Amino acid sequence: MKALFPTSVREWIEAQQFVSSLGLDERARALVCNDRLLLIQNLDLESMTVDVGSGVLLSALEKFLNEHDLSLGPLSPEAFQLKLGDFLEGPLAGLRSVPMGRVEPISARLLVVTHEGYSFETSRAPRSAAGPDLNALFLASHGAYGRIIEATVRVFPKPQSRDVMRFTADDRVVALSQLRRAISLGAYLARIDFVPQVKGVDFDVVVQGSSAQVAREARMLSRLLTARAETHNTGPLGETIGPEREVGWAEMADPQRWSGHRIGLGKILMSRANPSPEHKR
Amino acid sequence: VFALSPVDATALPAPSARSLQSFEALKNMLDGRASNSAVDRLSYARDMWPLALLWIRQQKCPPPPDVVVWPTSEEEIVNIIQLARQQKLPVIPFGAGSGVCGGTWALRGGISLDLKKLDSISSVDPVSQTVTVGSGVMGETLERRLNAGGYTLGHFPSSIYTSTVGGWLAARSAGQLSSRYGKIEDMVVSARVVLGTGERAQSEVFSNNGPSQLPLWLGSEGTLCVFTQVCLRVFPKAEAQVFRAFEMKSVEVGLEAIRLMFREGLRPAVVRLYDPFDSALASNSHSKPEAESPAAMTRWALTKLRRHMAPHTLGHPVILNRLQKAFSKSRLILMFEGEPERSNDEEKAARAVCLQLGAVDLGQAPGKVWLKKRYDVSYRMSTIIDAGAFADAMEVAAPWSKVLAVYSAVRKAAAPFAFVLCHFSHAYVEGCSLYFSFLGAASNERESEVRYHRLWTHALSAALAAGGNVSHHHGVGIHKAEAFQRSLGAARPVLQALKRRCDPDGILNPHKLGLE
Repeated sequence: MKALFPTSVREWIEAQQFVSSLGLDERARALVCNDRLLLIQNLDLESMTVDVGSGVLLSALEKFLNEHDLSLGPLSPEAFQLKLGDFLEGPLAGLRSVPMGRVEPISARLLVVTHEGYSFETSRAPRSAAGPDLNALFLASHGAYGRIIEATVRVFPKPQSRDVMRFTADDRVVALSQLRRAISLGAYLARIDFVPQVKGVDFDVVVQGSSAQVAREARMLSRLLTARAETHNTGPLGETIGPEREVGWAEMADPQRWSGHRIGLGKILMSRANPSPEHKR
Repeated sequence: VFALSPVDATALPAPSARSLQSFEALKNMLDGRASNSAVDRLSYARDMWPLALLWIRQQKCPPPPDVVVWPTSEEEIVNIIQLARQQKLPVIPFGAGSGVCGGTWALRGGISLDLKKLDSISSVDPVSQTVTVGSGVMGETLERRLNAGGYTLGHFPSSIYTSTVGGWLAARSAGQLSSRYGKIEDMVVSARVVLGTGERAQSEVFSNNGPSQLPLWLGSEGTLCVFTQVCLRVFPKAEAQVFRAFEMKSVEVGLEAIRLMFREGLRPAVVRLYDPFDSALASNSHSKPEAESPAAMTRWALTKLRRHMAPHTLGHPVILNRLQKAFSKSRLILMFEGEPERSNDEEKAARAVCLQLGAVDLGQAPGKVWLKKRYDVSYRMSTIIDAGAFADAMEVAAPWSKVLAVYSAVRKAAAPFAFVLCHFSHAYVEGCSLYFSFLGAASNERESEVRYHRLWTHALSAALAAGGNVSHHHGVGIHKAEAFQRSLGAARPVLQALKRRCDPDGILNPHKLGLE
């Protein structure tokens, strides 16, 4: 296998041209990799965005952002193990949950190189009505139409506070219905862990943000869900066990224990999870 | 451009020969739901692009379609498109004609495809909290139906009484409560379309299955596909609305307050910051102020002026725009809605942000007044046009770090051609939309139109150069096609390739988005 490691758009285009010039057999064994596209630049503290090379590991990006009191927000554990390019181009599609049960890409602008060998970038504007969203050609596309070289990533303030609240319900259907209602009324959840009990179901809900934000979420959840006696900061959550997959809420009636991330009204990223130390006891 | 009397449609150009050949086939295919009568063609010739209104004032009409058809099913749309492909006839999807960019103008004649008979509304699925609707459903009808079941879509564009769901999708619409509920693209779970090839397609719901086609169809303005059916997310109808308004020291401080609110995770349903001049006009100071401070006097004079704004006043925008320097304070209107306690919680947190920045609390009244009159402004345009002037609005979006630069650049660029007002709304963590209102006039119709075009060329170029985009929620049509193509830069071939894939014969809404 021949691997090429370009460090810029220009080098990427040249690398692609080189690979195209190879014979069929050689071409099949050649790879252009994003590992050295490692620039993190143009941190815009007003607009809460940063330009990031597609080879940057999201865990490393999170560390960089934390140093500036920023964060990528509540991504799933699997996402943090990926490079930005792989997160955007792969099955996770670069998506993250935002308030009101919405799910949106963490990227605003993309800088891409197409297979035909030309590069372009999309708009930095927060939203647009100017034609189709061409980012969609590259998100979750596994590089089918071209490769992402750099993205302008939307960031959040680093959470100052985190609360894990334990709730209970007679059965999963009731629990799911209560959770969906809370989300559709504005509750912003970072993670949900479902724990089957002999009778009914317990679920841990994680909220994070500024202290005031967490307090607001906690008050709202206490009004809308049925709390266990010991509700707050129930200790560390169980480790998730991959793989993560996006499912509809109906599939979460699965009788096994699961953990939910990227929580939207329409869909949720689900993975199996080990019981938390608290629940083991 | 064709001269005709506003009441006499007989001066329209005759339908094309190819359309006449296809007319009987269309009628048979649709059980008679096709027309090439002059009145119908005239009715579908324009949307609400102010340029069309200027033309109509001059007794001119935008190019009309050759035929208007009213399909009732997806299958009929497939048949129409197949016939159009054979006959090389353009097909222009048409919702309710409330667009403001010429998106439904029949530049090459062809078939105007009125989708309003695709008007089914399913009952709300209480588990997935979704509703499935035909693309021709009128916005207000849908909202009323949802309200009856205790739900809301949360989408309230100014055009809600005169726009369809399909139109919203085609132009990536935004409603007045978008800061909480999102733009229309945030509400669509999936959609069914007919492509320009006549193929039917449905978008995937989950990203596990590869790239989503939906964002490529949304905003395509009928150039790639015809929306037939849409599954939309709905929300519980708000139990409470909490209003609060503030007088901010300046636009800059007002924008900072909004930015901090969104950064803190607050999601006001309404957030509108009016620039100082717009704030002064909105302040309703009908009586002459007792304290004769220059600002109070000027505000009073402007209120009087507003009532008497006439072409001769608007014909001198430079003077009017200079008057703006007498003002500095900006009005911010907030409205939180949803669960009562949560709404109160968020309002309290937002108030703390504003007061910390030195805002003056104006209470709830301005917000309530805004809500009551929120759809009125769109209907005032006709009175301005009737008075011999022109009015238009330019909405762009920019990241927070560029918002003020865009604001200044557009005001400066537009000032020689029109009286400029601006408000900021549709806020996000990373930026917001700037909504510029332009009022202008000239000594004659020809000069008015020249001034209108120069205004737009300068204003939109200034917005783009300062870091804004082409459109936040009005779309592109033909009005902004050139600027849009310029903004695409090296991405132009990608959009063209997409067009070739979805519409190889180029029959769908030709020339819109600058696509042939």
